Amino acid sequence: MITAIGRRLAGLFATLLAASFVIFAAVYAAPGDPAVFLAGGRDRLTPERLAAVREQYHLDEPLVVQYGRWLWDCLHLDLGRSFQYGDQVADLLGARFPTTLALVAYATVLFVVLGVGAGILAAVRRGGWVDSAVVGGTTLAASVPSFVGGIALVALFGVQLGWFPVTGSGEGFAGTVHHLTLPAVAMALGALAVISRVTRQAMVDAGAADHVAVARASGIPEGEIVRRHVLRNALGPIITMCGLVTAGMLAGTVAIETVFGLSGIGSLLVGAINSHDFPVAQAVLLLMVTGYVVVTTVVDLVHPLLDPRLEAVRSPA
Amino acid sequence: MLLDIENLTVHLPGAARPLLAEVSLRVRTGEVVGLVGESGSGKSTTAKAALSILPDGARTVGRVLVDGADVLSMTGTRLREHRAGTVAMVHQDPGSALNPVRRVGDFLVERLVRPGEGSGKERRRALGTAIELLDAVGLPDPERRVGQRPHEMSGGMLQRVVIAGALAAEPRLLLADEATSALDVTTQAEILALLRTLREQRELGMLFITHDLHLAAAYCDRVYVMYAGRVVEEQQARRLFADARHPYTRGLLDCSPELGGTPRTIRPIPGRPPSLADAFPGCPFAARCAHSEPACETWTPEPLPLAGGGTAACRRIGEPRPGGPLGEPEAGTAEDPEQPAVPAVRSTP
Repeated sequence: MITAIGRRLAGLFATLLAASFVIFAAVYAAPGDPAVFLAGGRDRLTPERLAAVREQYHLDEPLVVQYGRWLWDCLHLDLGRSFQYGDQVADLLGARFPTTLALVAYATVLFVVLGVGAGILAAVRRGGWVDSAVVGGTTLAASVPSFVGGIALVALFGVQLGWFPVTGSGEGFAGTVHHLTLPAVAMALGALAVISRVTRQAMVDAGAADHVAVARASGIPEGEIVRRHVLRNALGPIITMCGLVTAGMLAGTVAIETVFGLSGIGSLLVGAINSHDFPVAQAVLLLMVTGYVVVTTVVDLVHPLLDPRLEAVRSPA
Repeated sequence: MLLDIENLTVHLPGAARPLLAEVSLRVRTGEVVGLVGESGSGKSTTAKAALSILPDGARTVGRVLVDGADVLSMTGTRLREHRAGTVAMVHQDPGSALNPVRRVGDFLVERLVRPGEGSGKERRRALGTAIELLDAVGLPDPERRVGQRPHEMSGGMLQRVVIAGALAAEPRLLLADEATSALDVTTQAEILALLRTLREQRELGMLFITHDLHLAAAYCDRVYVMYAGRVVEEQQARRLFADARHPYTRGLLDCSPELGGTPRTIRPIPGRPPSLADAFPGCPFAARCAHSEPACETWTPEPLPLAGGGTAACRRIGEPRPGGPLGEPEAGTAEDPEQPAVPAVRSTP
């Protein structure tokens, strides 16, 4: 078990290292010269000033040297300063990340509860009208892009009914929940289809096992069978899918943050890319990749707890 | 009468013949009744009818009474209580009868705790009972076993767990569906001995389903032989070897080798077991039977009483003739598989 965790963590760091280089190189290769921006725009540009700026920000060094310097600083928890704002990148992230995290967490709670719930209903009432309604409804919800759904939600619940604020991220727990409800619903709607369908299929597969028929023949109440035999055994694929969707959301909040005027890391990233703010763009991307890899690793580590047979296979006696 | 199946016929949509045809079967308290047949003969279907487990879309005629209560008409809570109480089943493959991701203790506890009694105290008490049950079925170190999962145990141990699970309901009737077929010989002997002991201690009626006629004849009090969804013969087990009357039963006995005595040719029954797509206007065994006559093809089988007790569904049973029961071959003819054996004498001189 310990070695399995160790191997997973080693894999996590290797993935992060590779990802960090790709991120750095991609931002480096992006069109446009940050030195022009840093020097204050094209109108006041002189070759001497440009060279001075390049040297100040180490932009004249080769890619690998720059990458090494950046990585070294990152490992010392120094993400550098923003070209645009002059602030520490870590402070910018610290200010923006909680909003995104709260948004993704809220959306995750929504799609797990509603998606898994709908999937269970569809599996238990398989072939009936509930099943068709769940499949049809979630497919419809998934076919609408989240920002379009978001605008529709704003129009209805924000403007028409006035139940929820249409912009900002709110103060305190209640305020945050109130402000983030519409964006979280907009994000969760798209995930409902895949989660409910994975849940339904995993439960149908788990329900076909012999031990379920044996439990039924022993007169165990149907609710117990669904909970302790069918759903319990279907958890593997369900949790994997929930983890993947959540991890994907961490990197995909840009559109929703824009629609709802939230200042999370998605809008920070877009701003940073537009203004060639290398350190910020790199840090945000690195954070997103880290979030994705951490979530998927945690899901992997949870699996042996769900199915003890996996542990037996992995650690040969 | 503990289990009384009365003329049970089960029709499946799309099948050429009924899955079960006029099956009548009885099990008394304390009795071990064998149910023998090839795969697809309907023996499992018959046993599962006692729990009202029938294939989807099945249409039934006839009755299944357990302790006088009509099982097939039960629904909802009444049916659930029937399955949780009066009748318990031991399944063929213990490896797939248990949920692989849950502990052995959970398997037993969920059979011991009544619905709505799921509190921690009751579950702890149930776990104590589970340990006693595992001890009763001869599983060593039961305190440790309840915390283990199925993949940590052998097939024989798991079958003991499954039997303990069946006993948890304190049933009056035990259905053992090929309960020992998946086990190796020594384990099989242990489980058979265990089932016999438990039957005596707990006054259980037992329906012992197997494809092994010799095992059934040696182990049971009474044996039913099924073919193509019909009971073809019912006999006291001790008379079965010497006095099997239906040609199919005799064919089954001839199929397996025997220890000791004079060496004997193994003669498989010609033809193949019937599928659900085969319909039979008359006796379903006629096509494979060495003694069949044209009339057999149209004779609707019905159980005919035998002189020494029991029944056989063969129209030639009643034919008067000296020289032993039907199918008693003349010396010599039986050794030649090419030449179908014929009844020794057909008419009274």
